[in-house]
Amino acid sequence: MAAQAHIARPDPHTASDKEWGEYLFMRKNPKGVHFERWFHANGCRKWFHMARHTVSHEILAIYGITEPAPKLDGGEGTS
Amino acid sequence: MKYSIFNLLRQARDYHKNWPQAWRSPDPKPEYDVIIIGGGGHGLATAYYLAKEHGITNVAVLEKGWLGGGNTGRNTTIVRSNYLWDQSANLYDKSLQLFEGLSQDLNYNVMFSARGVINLAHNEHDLKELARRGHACRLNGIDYELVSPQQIKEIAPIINISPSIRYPVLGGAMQRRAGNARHDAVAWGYARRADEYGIDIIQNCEVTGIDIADGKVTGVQTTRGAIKAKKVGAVVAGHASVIGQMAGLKLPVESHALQAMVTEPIKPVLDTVLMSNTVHVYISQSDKGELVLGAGIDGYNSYGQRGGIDVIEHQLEGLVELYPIVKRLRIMRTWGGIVDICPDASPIISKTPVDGFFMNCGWGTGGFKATPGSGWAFAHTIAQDRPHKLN
Ligand SMILES: Cc1cc2nc3c(=O)[nH]c(=O)nc-3n(C[C@H](O)[C@H](O)[C@H](O)COP(=O)(O)OP(=O)(O)OC[C@H]3O[C@@H](n4cnc5c(N)ncnc54)[C@H](O)[C@@H]3O)c2cc1C
Ligand SMILES: [Zn+2]
Repeated sequence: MAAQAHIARPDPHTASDKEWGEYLFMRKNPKGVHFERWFHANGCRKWFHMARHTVSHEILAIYGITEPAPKLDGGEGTS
Repeated sequence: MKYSIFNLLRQARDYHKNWPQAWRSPDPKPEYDVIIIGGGGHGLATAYYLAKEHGITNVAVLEKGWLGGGNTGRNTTIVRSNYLWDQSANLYDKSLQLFEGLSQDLNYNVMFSARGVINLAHNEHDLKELARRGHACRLNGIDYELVSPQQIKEIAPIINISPSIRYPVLGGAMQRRAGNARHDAVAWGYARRADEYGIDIIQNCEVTGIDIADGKVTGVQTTRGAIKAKKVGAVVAGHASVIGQMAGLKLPVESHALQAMVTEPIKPVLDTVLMSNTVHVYISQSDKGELVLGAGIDGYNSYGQRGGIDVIEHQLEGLVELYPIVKRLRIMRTWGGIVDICPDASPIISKTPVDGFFMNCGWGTGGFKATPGSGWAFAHTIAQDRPHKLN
């Protein structure tokens, strides 16, 4: 199971409804390279990050959930 | 040409050599009043209702591949309107009502078959949810009745109602007006009628950009050149975010693969549709005899139009336990489509911050049933520049 990674949680006490709505619901949905947080539900139950192409499903990088997104050749594709 | 028994006989006399083509394949004109992006069922229905209900016929439907080659031709064809929320129930029931008269309206046999749909309950919570949904539906005038395991067994003898299986059948709810329809006929029927109104249906024409000046849409860029338009409506299912991005819009939509499959054809064993949301097993039998099986979505974003084998395995585990006769059948084909999932699993039919640009998306795993209603409401939204009260 996976979903978009690197989403910063705004402060719920100060965030506007719009900011909170964006945080909860708005997602990048690129046709290309996607940076995701994964949970290995059927295995070791580890959380980790993955950079993956959403058309070819090629895995481009695996990294820890506290690490910044790696710079990849071609960057964040959209095509 | 009107499709009728007389024309069928006339054409048979001529050895079927003189049937006219069902729609033209025109080159794009430089400008249209309305451009619809996406030649799936929803886009073609939108074009048809723009002409029929609003008299707007200077319209083009732009499709990057072939008509119905997206989710329209990939779904398991279940049509129903038993939704909990008023907003959903009203829209989906409008669609079901349109389905009921669609073959006549389009003069094209969409093979809508009201064979009934049963939702199965596999735990206490499912039972309560179905009871609540049943009450809500009936308050909205939508038929939806609770059925016991024994009643289900009578309707569908192939089901295993033993209490000792992993997900036993504790009960269910049935919408008798629901059923299925032939999905590609829906696309073709709308295409043919839209074409009769003079609407241009242009295949192999991918939209690559949305032209916007001073916050207003002016046209689109395509693989077949730039085309101007006063209004543009996009209804591209799994590619909603891609088109949205072209217009600078961010959407609460994520694209996932959804899979289905068919078994080898067998004699008639099932004349209704059975759905188990809890274990993601959906089953019906096609007129050709194949058992049509639907699964759940893959747990990660994808534009790859194919899904993971683990989802199929999971689906089959539930299937063989619930319908043991399928154990020795071969699976003939599996395939996937890319569906546009919203956080609330509810669609968006809307104006956008860009003047003259409209979006219709978020139908996710369940938009085939909505094809007529969605097109009807989207046509209204585009023509009147404001949503209908159904959307
Ligand atoms: C396996 C599966 C099973 C399903 N089962 C059911 C079911 O039983 N019941 C139900 O109600 N629903 C079901 N659905 C959902 C249903 O199929 C969809 O919600 C519905 O068909 C969407 O229709 P559409 O016309 O919007 O999309 P589509 O038919 O996908 O049409 C969108 C079109 O837009 C085109 N397009 C995309 N980008 C561009 C571009 N840039 N330029 C030009 N054209 C473009 C695509 O090529 C495509 O033809 C299922 C879906 C799948 C995948
Ligand atoms: Zn692991």
